Amino acid sequence: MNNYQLRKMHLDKKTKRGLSSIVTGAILLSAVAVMGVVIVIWANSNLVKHQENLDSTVSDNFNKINEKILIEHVWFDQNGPVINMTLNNIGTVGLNVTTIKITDITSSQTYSFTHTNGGIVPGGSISLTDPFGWVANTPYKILISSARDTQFETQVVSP
Amino acid sequence: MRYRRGLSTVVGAVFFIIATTTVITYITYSMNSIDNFSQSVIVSEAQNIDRGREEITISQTTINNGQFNMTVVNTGSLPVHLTRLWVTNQDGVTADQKADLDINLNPGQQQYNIGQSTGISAVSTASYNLKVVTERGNISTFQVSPNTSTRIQLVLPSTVGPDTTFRVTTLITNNSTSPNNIANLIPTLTNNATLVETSPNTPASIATLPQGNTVAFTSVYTAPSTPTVIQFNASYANAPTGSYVLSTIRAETVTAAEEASNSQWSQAASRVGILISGIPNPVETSSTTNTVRFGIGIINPLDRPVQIYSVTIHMPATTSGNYPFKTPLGAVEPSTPSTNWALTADKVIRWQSGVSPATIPSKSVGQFRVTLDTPNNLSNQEILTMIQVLSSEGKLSAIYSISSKNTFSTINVFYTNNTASLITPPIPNNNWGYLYEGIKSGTIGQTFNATVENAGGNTLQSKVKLILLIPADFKEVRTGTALDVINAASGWADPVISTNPDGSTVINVETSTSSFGLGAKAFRYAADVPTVTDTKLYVFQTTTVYPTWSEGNIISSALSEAGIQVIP
Repeated sequence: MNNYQLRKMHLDKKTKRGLSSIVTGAILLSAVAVMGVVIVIWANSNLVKHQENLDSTVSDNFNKINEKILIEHVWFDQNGPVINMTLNNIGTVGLNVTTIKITDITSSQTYSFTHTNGGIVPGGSISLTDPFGWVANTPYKILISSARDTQFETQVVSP
Repeated sequence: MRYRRGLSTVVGAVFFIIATTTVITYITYSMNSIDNFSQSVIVSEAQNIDRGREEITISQTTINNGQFNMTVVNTGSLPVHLTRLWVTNQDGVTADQKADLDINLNPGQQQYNIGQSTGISAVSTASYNLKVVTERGNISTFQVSPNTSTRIQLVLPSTVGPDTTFRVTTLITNNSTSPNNIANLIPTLTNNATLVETSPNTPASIATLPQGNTVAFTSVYTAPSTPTVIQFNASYANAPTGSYVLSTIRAETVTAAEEASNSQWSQAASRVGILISGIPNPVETSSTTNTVRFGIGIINPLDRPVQIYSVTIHMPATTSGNYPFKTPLGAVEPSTPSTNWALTADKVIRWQSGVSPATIPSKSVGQFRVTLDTPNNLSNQEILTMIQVLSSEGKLSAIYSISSKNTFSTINVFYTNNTASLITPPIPNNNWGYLYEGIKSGTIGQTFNATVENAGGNTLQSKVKLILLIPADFKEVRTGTALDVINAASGWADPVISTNPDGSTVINVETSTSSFGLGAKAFRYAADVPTVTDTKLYVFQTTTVYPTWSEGNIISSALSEAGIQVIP
């Protein structure tokens, strides 16, 4: 066997071992890449969800904190069973009055009124009228709820 | 092999960068959100603090040109923006009204004329609640109402001379416990006489009387020429029901008003003593039966009962050796024991208790009454009469003198309950006495019947004048229209009512005819009973004077001291 033959035999042996390594490496790399992508996508999606939750919570609380109503004036109609009230938005965000609950403190009886047009811009006011059979010289508790479920309370005595 | 190792590092690095970037972004976003939220909490808290530091006061409110005129002061430390005025008519006559305001006030600044040109009308006769709203959400309220708690006082002299001028000052205080003004306060002052008003109320009115303030209005009048009692009534326009004060003034000479000022009984009784409850004077000593009514009152203002063992009326024999009285006609009171009122062997009229003394309860008056007759033809003389009482508090005595003669009359003085029973003599024992028991504290217009009686056989050739002394605690002593009817029918002239310097009242009244025949005449008057928290005793003193009696001794005078018990 001459030198040529020996060199060729050595070269052939080296070439066969490198192919398997490449294949294995490619497979491993692909698997890692796939797993990495999946994990990254999953993690990203989780973070996005958390971010949305955080957004929502912060936004809700932010709005609730800045939502303030002044129950400026409550008066009872002398000519019929009607109660009127003027509400003033003294907060920094717009709000929507959705429910007014009036409780007769003496008898604990509660009357609920729903409003769909109770939006008040910051610094604005609204006058609401509800049909309510008030009794003279009776203390009432008035509870006002906004769409964000913030509640404001006052007490009045009918004339 | 070197190239392959580099590729995996690159892939790992890419993943690391992606993961790190995502986490850092999330954390940064979260931190930002939390920071924003914190900022909003801080801002909200600052707004709440500002709202707390904001303070406005409606310092006063009047009604000008039919509209409110308010003055609002910024008493806080921040600028204030007034946004709304609410007006509630508390009488319910009109619906609630509002007006938009746009008034900025710096700290310490005040703004006048708020409410003018708002279109909200106001009248001083109605009650209003005013509410001013600020932009930060504070509310200040105020009330304008004539219907508020006030104190009205009248300052005037108790007695004035005829045709003299005098001042009557009305003091009105706004006693409201909440911010409340009386707008357009117009005082009213009326009287029941025809007086010349020299100067009308000054000032005629005031624009506003703030809470806690007092205003004085003064009028000047000229007193009438004739003696009279004038009652003033002070109030103000649209005052609440019952907001007025009454006070009287006597137009007369001052000397007359001082007559009885030194009487020991001009105030409430304070010690155990004998009331000369009824001493007749003069007495007639003719053959006719003379009903001589004696009364001895023992007043007990103490907190303990007083025991009475004996009561005697002692009159020495006259110069002719005769004793002035015979055996009692009737032993009136007490009716027990059976050995009560009698003429003893030593010529003393005596009540004695035996083993069971009479008890005068705490804060009451024990009444001992007896009717006697006189013998015929006693000489004209003053009989010294001594009354003695032996009690658990010691021995009490009082001395008096009685004029006697056969041509005299027998004059008794006492109090009666039923004036109708005086018309048909004899007067029953239950209708003459010296004691008013159980008068309710604070009674308005309690009536009293001071009665004088000629119980002998001769007509008294004189008018009979009564001098009645009423203690200071009894107010508004009066005769009044209804009472005058009875008095006029009984033959009494118009009385003169005077106030003493110590506050007690003297009534001077005399019969309208020049002589006083047989029978009785009751003079009725009324007084407001004092308010007491514990039973209290008073004494009403009555003295008779016979101003035109030429026959007898001018010092002759029947006397009555009646005990008055006022209970809570």
